[in-house]
Amino acid sequence: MSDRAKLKFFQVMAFVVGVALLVLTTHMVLRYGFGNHALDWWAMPHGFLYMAYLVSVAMLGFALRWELGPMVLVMLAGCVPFLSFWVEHRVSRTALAEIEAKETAATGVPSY
Amino acid sequence: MLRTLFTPRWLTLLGVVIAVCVAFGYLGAWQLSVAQHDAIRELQAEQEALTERPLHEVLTPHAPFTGDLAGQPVVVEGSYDAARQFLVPHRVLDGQEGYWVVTPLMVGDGGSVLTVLRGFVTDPELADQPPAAPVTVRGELAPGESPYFGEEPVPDGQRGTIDLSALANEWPERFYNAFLFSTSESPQVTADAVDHVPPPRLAIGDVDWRNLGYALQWWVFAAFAVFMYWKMLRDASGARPEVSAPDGSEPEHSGQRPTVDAAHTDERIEPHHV
Repeated sequence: MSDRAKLKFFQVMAFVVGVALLVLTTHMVLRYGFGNHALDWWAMPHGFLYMAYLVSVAMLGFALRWELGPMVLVMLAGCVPFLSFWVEHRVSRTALAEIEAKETAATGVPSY
Repeated sequence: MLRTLFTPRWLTLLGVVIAVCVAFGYLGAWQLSVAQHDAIRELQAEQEALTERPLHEVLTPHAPFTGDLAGQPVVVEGSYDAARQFLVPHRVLDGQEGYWVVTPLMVGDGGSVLTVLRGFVTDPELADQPPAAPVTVRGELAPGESPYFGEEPVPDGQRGTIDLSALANEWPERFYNAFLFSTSESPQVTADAVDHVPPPRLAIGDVDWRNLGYALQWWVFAAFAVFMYWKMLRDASGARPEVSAPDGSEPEHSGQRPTVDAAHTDERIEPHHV
């Protein structure tokens, strides 16, 4: 998997988990605020989506040799409603720069 | 790699990873027990919410026994045929071994027959013969048991199990594919010496895949933490400074060795098998 594909995977997962987390938040509000159990089933799929997100962060992070701290923070960002959208935006920008720099270092020209 | 591991940074991180594993391990176990209790409570509540209905409304003779009928409370009118009563040996109630007393109930006008588990006795002598008088029986439906494949022959007047398919062949009436755990009769025709057998209830230990899934997630997260640690440690022990982030923020390779052998140089190009 190329670095760019890993970045794409991360971007997709960040968006999916961001939306999934909003659904989970809705579920929490419904369940603990109103005793409504309509979305109870969502907790488990969300768990698996979050796992996929962790994998996507790890794949991108290891490819771009991030430090552990930032990598863990990006992972945890998936647990805070709305934060993952902003983090995804920021991470994508720096990651793209890193990928281009890496490609330039390897071949002399960035590949598009 | 070991030299990298034995630095304060990586030992601290190792401590964190172990703490995470222990915490997540417990969380998984806790989740499992909570989910189990939840599932059982749900099912029990479902069963208790079932309201008693006349037998003919929920099951007709020869109709297949569907899963949702198990535990269905019913009321049925008829009269016992004591001549065809039989005992099922090796049954246990309240820690005592004994016999189930099973009697066919001629339902309604007698054209159909329902197998009724009237109760439990410790001695065959205690099994009474109910009169062939009209009786209203209340109880809960259950599916038939597997055929008896035991080695030892079963004495006359006894059967190894409540094997409905065998009974259906022997009894000429239209046959209900269920047997009844009798909980009460009016008028009470069964002797007091015959104890009611409580209908089966769900117990702890019935887990569905969903419960396991919840717990599994925590354990997978713990395993993921271990994997992350191992991978970071491996990268750190083989890392070289010139591949730092291009934005100028030099990552600190605190545990890094100053020299990197040639084998690692190759690996640097595509070292990630993730």
